[in-house]
Amino acid sequence: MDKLLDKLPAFALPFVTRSLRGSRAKRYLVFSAVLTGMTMIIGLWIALGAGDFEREMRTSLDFETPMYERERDELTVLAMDAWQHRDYEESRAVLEREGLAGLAGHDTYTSTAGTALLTAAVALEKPAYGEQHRALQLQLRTLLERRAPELLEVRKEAYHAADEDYPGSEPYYDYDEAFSLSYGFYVGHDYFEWTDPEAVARMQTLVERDGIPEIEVYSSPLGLEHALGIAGMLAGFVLMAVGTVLAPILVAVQQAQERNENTLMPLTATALNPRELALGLSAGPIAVALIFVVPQLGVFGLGALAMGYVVPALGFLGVLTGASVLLTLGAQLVGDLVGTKRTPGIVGIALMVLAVATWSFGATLGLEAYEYDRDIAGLVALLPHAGMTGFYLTTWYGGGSSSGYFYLAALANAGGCLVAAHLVLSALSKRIAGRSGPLLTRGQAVAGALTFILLANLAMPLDAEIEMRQYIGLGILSVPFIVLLMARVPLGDTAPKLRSVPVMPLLGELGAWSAAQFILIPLVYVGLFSPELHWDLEVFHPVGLVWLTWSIAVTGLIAIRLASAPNKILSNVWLAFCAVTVVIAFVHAVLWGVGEFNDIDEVFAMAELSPVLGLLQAALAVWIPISLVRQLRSVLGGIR
Amino acid sequence: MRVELDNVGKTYDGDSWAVRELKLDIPSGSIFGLIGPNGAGKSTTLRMMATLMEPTEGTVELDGNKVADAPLEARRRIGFLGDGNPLYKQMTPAEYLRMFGQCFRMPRAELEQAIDDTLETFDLTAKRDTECGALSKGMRQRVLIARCLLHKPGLLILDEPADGLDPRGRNDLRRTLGRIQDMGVTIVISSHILRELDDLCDQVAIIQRGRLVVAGPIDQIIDSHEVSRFVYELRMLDEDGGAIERAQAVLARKRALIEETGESEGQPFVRIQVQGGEGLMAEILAELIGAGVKVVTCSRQRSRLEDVYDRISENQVN
Repeated sequence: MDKLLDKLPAFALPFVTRSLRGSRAKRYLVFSAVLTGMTMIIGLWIALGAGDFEREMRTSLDFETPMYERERDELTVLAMDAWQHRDYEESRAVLEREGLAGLAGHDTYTSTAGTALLTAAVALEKPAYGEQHRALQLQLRTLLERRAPELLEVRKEAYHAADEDYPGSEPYYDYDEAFSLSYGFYVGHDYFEWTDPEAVARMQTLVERDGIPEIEVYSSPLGLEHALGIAGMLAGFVLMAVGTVLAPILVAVQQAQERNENTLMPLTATALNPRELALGLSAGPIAVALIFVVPQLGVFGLGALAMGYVVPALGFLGVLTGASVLLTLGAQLVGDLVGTKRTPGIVGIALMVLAVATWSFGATLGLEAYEYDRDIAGLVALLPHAGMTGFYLTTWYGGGSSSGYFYLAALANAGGCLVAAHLVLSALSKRIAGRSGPLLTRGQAVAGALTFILLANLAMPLDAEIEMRQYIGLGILSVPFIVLLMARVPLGDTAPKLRSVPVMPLLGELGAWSAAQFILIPLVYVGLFSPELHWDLEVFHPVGLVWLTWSIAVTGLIAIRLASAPNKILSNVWLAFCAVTVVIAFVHAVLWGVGEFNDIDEVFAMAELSPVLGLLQAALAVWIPISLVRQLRSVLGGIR
Repeated sequence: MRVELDNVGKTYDGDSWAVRELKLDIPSGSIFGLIGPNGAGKSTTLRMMATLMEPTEGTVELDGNKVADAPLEARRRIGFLGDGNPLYKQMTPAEYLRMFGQCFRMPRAELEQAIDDTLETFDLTAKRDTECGALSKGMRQRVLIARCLLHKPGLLILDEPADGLDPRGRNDLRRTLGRIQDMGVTIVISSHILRELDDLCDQVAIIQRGRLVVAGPIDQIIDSHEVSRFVYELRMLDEDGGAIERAQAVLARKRALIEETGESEGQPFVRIQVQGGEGLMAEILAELIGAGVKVVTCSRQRSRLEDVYDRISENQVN
């Protein structure tokens, strides 16, 4: 172990050594071996086991056709054991000897044979097309005469006259009821039309078997490659759980603990620089996670190879890596930010809830985009969990999403995650260094803004209207832009009253990012890709632009206020109210931009409801920016 | 290691100064005390010295090299114990030292040897594998200081190391610092418990509101504030029980202020402040003997650092 540790980079060595000190490394290795063994055993068991539970698992995982369908399609009854096989043999002998009328039991053999023969009787009633089908019809009639002559009269028995109590109702046929009246036990007939080749094939099989279903002892239809596949599938699940939930939470909790117990400061006085410390602090918990991940990665790779879907598996690992790096560093930053005020336990629980919620949303979105909706395929660019879900499914089931755009967006998201992770690492390093100033430089913020702009535009359908791209893009970008702007607010270990914040330059930065989305992207989109597209210049209506500028400025002021000083409850309530007015203002901007509003009365749309409300809206439009600037002046040493 | 601070200043907001125009010259191998009330700028000064904070103005030099040029390199030569440093309670002293040694990029073999040596130096060998959470506060403080010395720095910076220690822990700390000084390490220590520094430090600096008030060897500082302040303690034989009263009667006629009377080791004593130097004291002594007071000893009482500090503080306030 020591030799292995010596190979670690200097920044990771102290923290990995700490995480694996004493007997911890051995314990983790044993647990990991047990987990890997369990993954393999469960994979083999589910793939090859012949019990009901394993069969149902395989069926629910779509690795095996449901037993009923298999029995119907192959006209083969599956016995779960030797005793059942013997019972079925007895039923078969009766069927061969006495025909369907001799069977009175309720076993699967009887119902399979009954259903097949009843369906044959229904097939006789349906109009056949072509020589082949008519010849088959004749063969079926001959078969029924020998095995179940009663069924030749089933149409007559099944006839029900129209109900006199319900004028206009049609006469109808209930074949299943007629069958039970004839034989004393119930079966339901299968769907049959001569136009359905699968249904016709089943009738062909019935004729070839002379109306006698085969009997087989049930065994899993899956082989070793599927066993490895299912083990790999489980391993993939463990990888996702560790990479996107466990590792980030472990790192966040440890970082919060370092802050909470003030143990970080001595580390900053060592020969490791802040970036090395940031990476090192995450390296400790990650080393523990890796002990569990590496063997699972082996199982995952083996499974993907066995199933033959290596490329999607690599895509899955790429998306997972991007997401894990971002989530881990992001969680570490959260732990660092809140660790001084909240206990590590609270941080861990909060992040766990957040992770579960994000996964629920991401997996649902991923499934929907993957299987059904091409229009929302791009949304996976916004949430790594969605792309991961799609690649995971492709790795084990092949086929792929209905839209190739899904994978492009997912891979773009992975790239975006790595850029965002780099920014988070820079911010974290600044926090650890404890130097005053903003967490991100202007250049870093621009890089972040451009990355988010790219992802937001990928998230929208390729054929989206330009105006939609402009406004929905800004809506999507509002959250990342707020986070970026907050990271640009100068912080330090002094009281807010002693700090000065450059409010106007910061608002200018936010304005520039927003302009890039609102003006630059449409220009690029129209100019380079779709010159024939029509760009309605009404989006530049002065009233709409004023409302848009207002909403961007107020959003910026709210973000600066949130980042620069702690808030009291009343301030938070006021900020929340201001945020609501931003949404209303944005809606005004959109409606003016798309031409829905074009009357002077609609400058303040609340006036439509009541003149008083209109006046109030106008007053708030003036007062809100002023109040936010006043608030900033009162809590800070100065603003520029 | 010699430490020089040349016009060092620190402001967090570009407006108010936490430390300003601080000039210090700390000789190699000395124990240097930094004294000042809370908020005076001690921790800021020490953090700048330890390269954890960049001065807004001025320079910090270690053996003539500016630390700002290579802060990480400088850090390898500094051991810094900040204010209120807790331990990882679940780690043993050996594990804790190993972690910090690795943070200083010490090679494995050298590190293991240094851990053994340091644990022995600090009398922690018996507690090598005991979790730090189970150690006494004094022992934990020793572990913390041991951590600062593991990588064999030339400068040890301790911010309020005696804070929260009981008298036994403080004595322990004194002995430890003495041993460290014997190793040739320069020690810079801050405290507001002046008695801790009085007989421990070779030199002190008193700072208030971020500015240096006075700095230098303790004796020099005391002497420079001793001018026109003569305090004497007289011990007397008291055979008839009226020695103190007779002495008070004589002193009432002279320019002398009685600071304290009492009894020590079975003998009455009077502590007086004489407003006239040694000549006046000689006169008083002659009159006391003439009045039948049997003076056994007469000794001049020197001020302590704490007295000087109090006086300087009063002047600052006034």
